[in-house]
Amino acid sequence: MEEATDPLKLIDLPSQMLDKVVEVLAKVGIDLPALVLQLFLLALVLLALAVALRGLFPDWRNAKALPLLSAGAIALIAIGILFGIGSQLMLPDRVVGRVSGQGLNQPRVELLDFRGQVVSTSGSVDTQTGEFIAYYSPAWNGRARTLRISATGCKPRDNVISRSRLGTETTWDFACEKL
Amino acid sequence: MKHLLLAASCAWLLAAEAAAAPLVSGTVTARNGAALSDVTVQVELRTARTSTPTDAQGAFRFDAATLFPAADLRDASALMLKFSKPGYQPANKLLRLAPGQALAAVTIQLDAAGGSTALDAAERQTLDKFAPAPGSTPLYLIPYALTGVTAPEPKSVNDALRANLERVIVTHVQASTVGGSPSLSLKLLPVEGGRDVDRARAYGTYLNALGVITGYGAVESGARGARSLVVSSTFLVVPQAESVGAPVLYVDDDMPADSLASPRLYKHLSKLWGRSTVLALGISEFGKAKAAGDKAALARIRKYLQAERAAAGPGDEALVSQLNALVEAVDKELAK
Repeated sequence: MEEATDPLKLIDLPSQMLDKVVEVLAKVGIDLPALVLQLFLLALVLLALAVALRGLFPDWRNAKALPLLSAGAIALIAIGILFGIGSQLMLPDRVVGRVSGQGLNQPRVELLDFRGQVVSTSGSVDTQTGEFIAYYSPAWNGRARTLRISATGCKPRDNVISRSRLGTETTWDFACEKL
Repeated sequence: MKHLLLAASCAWLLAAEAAAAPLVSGTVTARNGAALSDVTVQVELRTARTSTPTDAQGAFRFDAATLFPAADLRDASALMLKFSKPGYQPANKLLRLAPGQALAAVTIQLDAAGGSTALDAAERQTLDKFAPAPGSTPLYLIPYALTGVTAPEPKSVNDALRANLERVIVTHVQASTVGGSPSLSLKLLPVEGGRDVDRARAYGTYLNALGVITGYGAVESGARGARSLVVSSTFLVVPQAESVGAPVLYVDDDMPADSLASPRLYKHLSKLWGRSTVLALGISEFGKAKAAGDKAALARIRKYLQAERAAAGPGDEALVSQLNALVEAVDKELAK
């Protein structure tokens, strides 16, 4: 809600909608990496667009408004998906931040994708300062949705990463809840 | 002229690139300030990682430019350094990279793991006085709990045992094929210990020792009325190696009770003392050679472990089993 009020963040709208659709597809059992799902969705939409355009051509000037509008809407969806994929490619490939907590033993961080699967390749935390840098591939896995913080003897805690936080260095509080 | 300018520009660009290449260096010490050798220092950038052990002064050095692809290095904003050593809590250090700026040397202190974290301030203060000098390979003796020893007094007996044990150990290692003249010494720690093996290991870990010896003894009367001091010792190897762990060896000695102050007490001490020390040196050097991928050192370690195994006699079964496991681990590493 907060993000939608900022006019600049309206640009993110196609990406957010694409995120939602990909999440829905994952929920119905099509459990694939984000990029594969997005390409699958794009193929479906392009197929629908091809069918819609075939009905319009060759005499599209005399076509009725409804088929024209349908084709236009499908084309817009295809553009939205492409925009979403493009926006995903522009995301930073790392999440940098700091874990703050008292007396944590060997804290670690992991990035999770929309399926709740670990997508980060490294997750060590500086034992003195709590700083960390976790790399992942946003182009393939989609935006990192969750930062999981864990420490020896403590229950792991999942923190939602909003899109706006991806490029910033955030301090994440972690209070140890004993296992 | 154009070619000259082009060549000069290329040379300048290459020099700038080299100057920007981060050189990662630093030292690792224990909490008491003693340099920690054989700490595995891993430097990590994305999925690429490489490691090196610290030297006898606890120092390490990486030239990141030779380790990682130039493109990754240019794009990276930080390197993660990971420090680990058996018996110590691992530590990580995030090193921020700034284009064209040299990195400051890293100083890391490792906390002893397990039991030694329970050492109180007074104990740490006592142990700090016995911290090993850089490059030395110390063994420590925790005074034996002696019963029935009255003359000379137990303290003098412990002093005599230390001196004689040191002689047995150093002589054996010098006569062996270990080579490299390790600077061995046996220091008597002014702490209570006796039979508390966990405590002894905690002290050894804190001091980055090669081994800790402790035990107990009692004066017994023999069949013909001859009195002897029977000592049951525990030799704790402090360094650890894969598939061998940190072995605990038991050594029994029987000495005439009327010559406990004799400087020739060593004649009555078991050969296991020297052999156990060679095993401990093997474990320590194996970790170092493995981390450095030093095949020549591995071959040398294998040679002296095999010689030690061949010289073992009856009653050395436990030691032989440890030597076998270590030789096997060395062979595995050599075969890679």
